[in-house]
Amino acid sequence: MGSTFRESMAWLHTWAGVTLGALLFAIFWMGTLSVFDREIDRWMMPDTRLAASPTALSLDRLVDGVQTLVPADASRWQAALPTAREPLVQLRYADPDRQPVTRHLDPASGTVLPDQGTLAGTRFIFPFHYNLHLGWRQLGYWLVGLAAMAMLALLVSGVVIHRKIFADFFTFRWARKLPRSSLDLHNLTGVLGLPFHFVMTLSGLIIFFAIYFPNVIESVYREDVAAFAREAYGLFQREPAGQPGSLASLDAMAVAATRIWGGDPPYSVRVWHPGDANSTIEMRRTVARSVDMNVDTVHFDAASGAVLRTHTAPPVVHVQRFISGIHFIQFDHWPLRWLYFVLGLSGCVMIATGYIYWLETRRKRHAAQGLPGVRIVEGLTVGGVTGIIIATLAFFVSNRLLPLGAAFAGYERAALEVWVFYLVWLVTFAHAWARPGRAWRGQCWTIAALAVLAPVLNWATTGDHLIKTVLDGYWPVAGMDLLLLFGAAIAATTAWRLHRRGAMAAERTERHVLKAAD
Amino acid sequence: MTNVLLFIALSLAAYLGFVLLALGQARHWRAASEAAAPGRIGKLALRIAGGVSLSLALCLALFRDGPSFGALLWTTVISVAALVVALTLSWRPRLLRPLAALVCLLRPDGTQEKEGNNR
Amino acid sequence: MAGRRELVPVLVVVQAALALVGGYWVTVGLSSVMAHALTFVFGRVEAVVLTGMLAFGIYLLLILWGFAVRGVVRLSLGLGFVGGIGWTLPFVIRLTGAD
Repeated sequence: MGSTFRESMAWLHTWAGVTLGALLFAIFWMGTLSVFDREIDRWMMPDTRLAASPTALSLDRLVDGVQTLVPADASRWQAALPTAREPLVQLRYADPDRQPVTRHLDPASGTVLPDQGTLAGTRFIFPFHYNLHLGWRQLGYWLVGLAAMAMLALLVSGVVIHRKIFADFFTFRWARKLPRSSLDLHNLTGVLGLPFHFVMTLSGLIIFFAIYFPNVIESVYREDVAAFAREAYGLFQREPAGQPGSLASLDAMAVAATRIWGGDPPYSVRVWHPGDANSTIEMRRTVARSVDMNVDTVHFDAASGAVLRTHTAPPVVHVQRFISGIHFIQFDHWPLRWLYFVLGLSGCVMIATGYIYWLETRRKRHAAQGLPGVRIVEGLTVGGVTGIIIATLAFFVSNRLLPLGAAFAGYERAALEVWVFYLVWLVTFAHAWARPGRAWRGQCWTIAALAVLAPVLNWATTGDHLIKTVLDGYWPVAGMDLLLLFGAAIAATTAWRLHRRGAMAAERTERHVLKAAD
Repeated sequence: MTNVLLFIALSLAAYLGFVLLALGQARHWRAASEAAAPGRIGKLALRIAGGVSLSLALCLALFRDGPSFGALLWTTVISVAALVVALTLSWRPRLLRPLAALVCLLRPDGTQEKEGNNR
Repeated sequence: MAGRRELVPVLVVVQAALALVGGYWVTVGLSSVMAHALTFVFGRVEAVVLTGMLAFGIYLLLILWGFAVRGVVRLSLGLGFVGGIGWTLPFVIRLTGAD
């Protein structure tokens, strides 16, 4: 690939970047949006736009509401308790057809909120980020894993081939021609964001080490792999007795758990084998107060409320949970959340400018030699960058346009929204390959249009317009609308600049032609 | 309130730190100011001052949020601060002229670059 | 570079594929050995998790080396040697009853 180490790294950097860049952009884009996944949830599920409840939640009263929903023979159900960012109870269980169901309950009144019929941020955007929603044999996980390893290699090789890493540390010659300015911006976002990009990528891989290197567990635990889950994560199972049993006060158990955890409340409650004599209650400690995503659990006997088992992570597992926590960002820290968002966007810019640099430095040569490379990669870039942004906006817009309970061709509302996302994304690729010269511009204008349409539709369908949400201080929705409008402004400015650049280039060509004709 | 002030303070310290480091590079000094660029000792002083400012930002972050959150906060803040400095130098370098003037005032005459060497 | 067609030779693709796939299998072998070895220093669960985290670093180094090394032959030999150790060592340990 190259006669020197640097040349080999240049080859690796270019090829890994070109082949996997679009996938990496998708992962980074969805990951950046996932920073605000719960706020996106509030925007896409208007009935869940509740204010924080003034009274403390009563788990025992909650159980009454739950039991109206969960089938009598369910093996378990789980409730995520209200947090600052999500002031609702999120209930998960399996319906009589063994299909997973998620419903939301108002913590103040205990009523079940109407099914919003959307996967929204936490169940579409966030999982897309780590498994691409490709479930067949965990293909999505493996593709993301491959992309992540490639990203680590890209970051290291990028540093190796960057000749003037300190001299050009702050350099951004934005006024120069595209190859120079895009490379400057690529280097800038890459080098200055290097700690973030490297740590995010590596921590993402470390979260799923059990998927990517299952051999590590098997080599030590042999057949008893379940023992690993017990020792690491506190998995605790008790066989159902087959006899009916009662349920002691969940509120009392929550108080006991809080005392065991030195004042930290539980964030989730899981009831195993509800209604059985051997039913157990599993409570997990809040992850909002520290960086590490602890796996502290307490298991109670459902009938008596006695503590059966407490678990906390062993030291090295604690390190893995800390690294996971850095990635998951489930803690309460608003400055950090915004900083992650900005740095995530810088990662997206890094990938996009990498492509732009590659395209602009090869455009003339490929055109002269009749090579298809630029044509193919440009389509991939446009579809992969502006295309996925358009698809995401279409996802938001369709969420506001589709009525609750909509169904079509056997697909429910949530699935319809996902169909919109993928179909629009496909169209953007087709558009990019069909109209190479004007694809960037057209898609930028589309982004601007959709990003203005979304808040307008939010206003039209929910009445929560920007002035109202800002004055009320309802920041999840206000923030989303503001970011959408801000994004629209950036997209429009970009489209305008591209238009001007195109007009100037056309003008220059015309003058050349006229001069030659003289 | 103290948390907000601490955050502003540490962000400014990070920004200042990188501005000082950038002004230690001739290209960026020339973009910011018409005054003669600092000589070898001046550059070293700028770099040390920049490092001190970044360290101050770290201390403020650790003080505000403790070891784990503080370290995480500092690492993310300095990345963003460095980006903002790069954008300042690229789009509005003259905004840094007052700071460059202050640096000129502070330095002893011996560290000034000889006139003929200014390219 | 002007005039040279940007065709990627088959051998280069082979080397890339070998580096990626071979590197993964070598990492699997090495990490199994490492996890086992670390159980003598840490507890079971900690040896597993520590190895699980370090495995990605090992794989990254192998990928970088695999792309930089000159020629498919050297790559195969290198991977074969390291991988051979990784994959046969557990059997040897089991055979000698050191478990």
